[in-house]
Amino acid sequence: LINALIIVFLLVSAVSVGLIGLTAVGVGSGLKVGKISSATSGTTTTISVPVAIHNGGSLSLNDLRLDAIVSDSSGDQLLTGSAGPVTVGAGENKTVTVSLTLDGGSVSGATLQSLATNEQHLHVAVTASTSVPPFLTLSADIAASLEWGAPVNGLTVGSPTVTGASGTTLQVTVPVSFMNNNSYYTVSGQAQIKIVDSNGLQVGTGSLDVSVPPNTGFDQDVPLALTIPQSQVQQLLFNSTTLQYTAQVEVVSGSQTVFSVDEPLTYQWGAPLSGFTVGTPAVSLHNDTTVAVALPVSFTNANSAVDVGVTLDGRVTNATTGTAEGSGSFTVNTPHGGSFSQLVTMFVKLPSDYYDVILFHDATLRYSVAFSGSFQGVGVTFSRDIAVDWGAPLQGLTFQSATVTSHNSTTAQVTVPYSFTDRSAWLSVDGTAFGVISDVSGVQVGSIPKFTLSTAPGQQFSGTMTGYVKLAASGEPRFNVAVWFVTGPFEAMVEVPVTA
Amino acid sequence: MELSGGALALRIVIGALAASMVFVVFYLVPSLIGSLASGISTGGGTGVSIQGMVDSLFPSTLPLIGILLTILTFVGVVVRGSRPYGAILILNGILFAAYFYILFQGGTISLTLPGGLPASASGTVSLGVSALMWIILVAPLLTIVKGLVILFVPAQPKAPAA
Repeated sequence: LINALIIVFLLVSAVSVGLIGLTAVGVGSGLKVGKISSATSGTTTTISVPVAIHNGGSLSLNDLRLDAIVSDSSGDQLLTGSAGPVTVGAGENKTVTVSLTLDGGSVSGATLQSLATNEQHLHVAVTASTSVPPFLTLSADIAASLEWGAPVNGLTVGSPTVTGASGTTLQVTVPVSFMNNNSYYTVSGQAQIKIVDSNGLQVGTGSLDVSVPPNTGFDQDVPLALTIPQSQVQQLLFNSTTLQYTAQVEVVSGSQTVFSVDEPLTYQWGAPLSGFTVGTPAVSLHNDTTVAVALPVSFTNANSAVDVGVTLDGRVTNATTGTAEGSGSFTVNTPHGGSFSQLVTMFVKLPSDYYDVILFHDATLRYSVAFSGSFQGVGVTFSRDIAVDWGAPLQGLTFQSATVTSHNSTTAQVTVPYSFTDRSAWLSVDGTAFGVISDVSGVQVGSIPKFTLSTAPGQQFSGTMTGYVKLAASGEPRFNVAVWFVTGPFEAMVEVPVTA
Repeated sequence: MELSGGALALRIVIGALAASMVFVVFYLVPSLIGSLASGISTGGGTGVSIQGMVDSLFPSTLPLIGILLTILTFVGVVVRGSRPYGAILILNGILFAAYFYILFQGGTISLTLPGGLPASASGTVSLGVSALMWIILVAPLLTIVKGLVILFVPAQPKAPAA
């Protein structure tokens, strides 16, 4: 009996070992991993890995279960997944889907950022268990390292190219490029690009649709709207400069920022009114009280996209007193890259309060011209100082010694030589003069009858004026002569002592 | 027990054959399987070193037990039918049982994955084989019982011929 039992159990042992061996080989050769897919819902991304199992053995594979955890190099848990439990009977085919879940809400932004931009080793921990009843139970704890390439490697945001302008908004394209160095992950979705200036003020925005398969690159021009703040329009009108911005590229999933990077962005801004210059004015008489001041205005539109179309109103004020003295306006239409050069005429009142000065003395008249207009819908004002060289019509008026001769029984004739130079380039002396003769005590003793004056611009004049004094005063050694000159808009008096 | 010269010679031959089989299975295989596995892994070019894993499956005590089993198998065949045969069977059963108990690591086989696996994988695999082990141990235990019976139960006198 014992011998028979020994033989029976030897056979049972052999059969058991054989069945287990066949099952192990049958299952091992029937494992296939299918196409990996992913789906996103809210902040959760689920990566599904289907595993097809064919149990070619003779024993059932029971309670097959698999749990997996993927964590990054700093130990933060990224993916969790599980499959089963499932039973695969002898000869059966079954598919077990391992669902790996990435919960963006539970993973910190810093971790996601690091995953997006850094190459690193991910730690994979897998726990598997199954049984082949009644002979075998199996459990395995396996740790592996997964090479994770940065999905967004070497992101660069290039210099913008302006393609158009509307108001103070520029349509620009910005080249964006990066490399998806990841071997498993397709970078797909929409990224927001914000452009902020050095003060943190958002001046531009745009969006970027990407779909970059593993181990491929992305290189695309992204259209953006770039707005120039109104506070900067005035300065940027005249000054070419390098605008420094920051491009904030951000990918948001749900309410979670999964990726954000700041890249410097520079734009070479050409001033639309570059080198705006008001040259030396040319002056001419407009009417009795007003002169026409011709201002040579020039500039270059150094911008590559913005056209200048503006009507500028000029308001002329006395640079010293600030009182309004004249005005004028002109229209500028200069396309981008073009230049403008034109004489702009302003009509300026002569300073009547200073006629008695400027009639006899050269002067430099200083004015300030305030230009104002609407540029791309934004009001702009700026001013330029101008200096008008004034040549006095009666510059250097001098009187020589008078000659007194008898005229009649009650009066004596006084002849006074005088001279001046008309220094004006455009204003002739063409008028009259008359005078009063007083003794040294200030008592009027005679007069100078009205006489005419006529001197062309730039000419020197020498002549005499003739007056008459009471005979009793003819012996005076000195007289005071006050002469009123009336020429053009001027009427001014000069009083000088004359030796007889 | 009395044997003719021819019968003794036959037992020696059978014992040598049986001992040879035991020697191959229970000594050579556990002694050389580590080297064989090493050769396989080197030839495969995978860089995976499975020799350590195989060594942990076949501890160094197994070949030693295999040698003893070889000797006892030979002796057992030669002395079969004698009273010492019971003692030989008991020893044989104990050594077989010990062999399989050690091989199955008491019912739970723990394996450490070898180095050089893809993705630098490492870890342990635990196989619960208690049921299989006890099934296999039944035969050696019955052998011990048989030895005890031979050793301690008096042989029934053969019935006289009619």
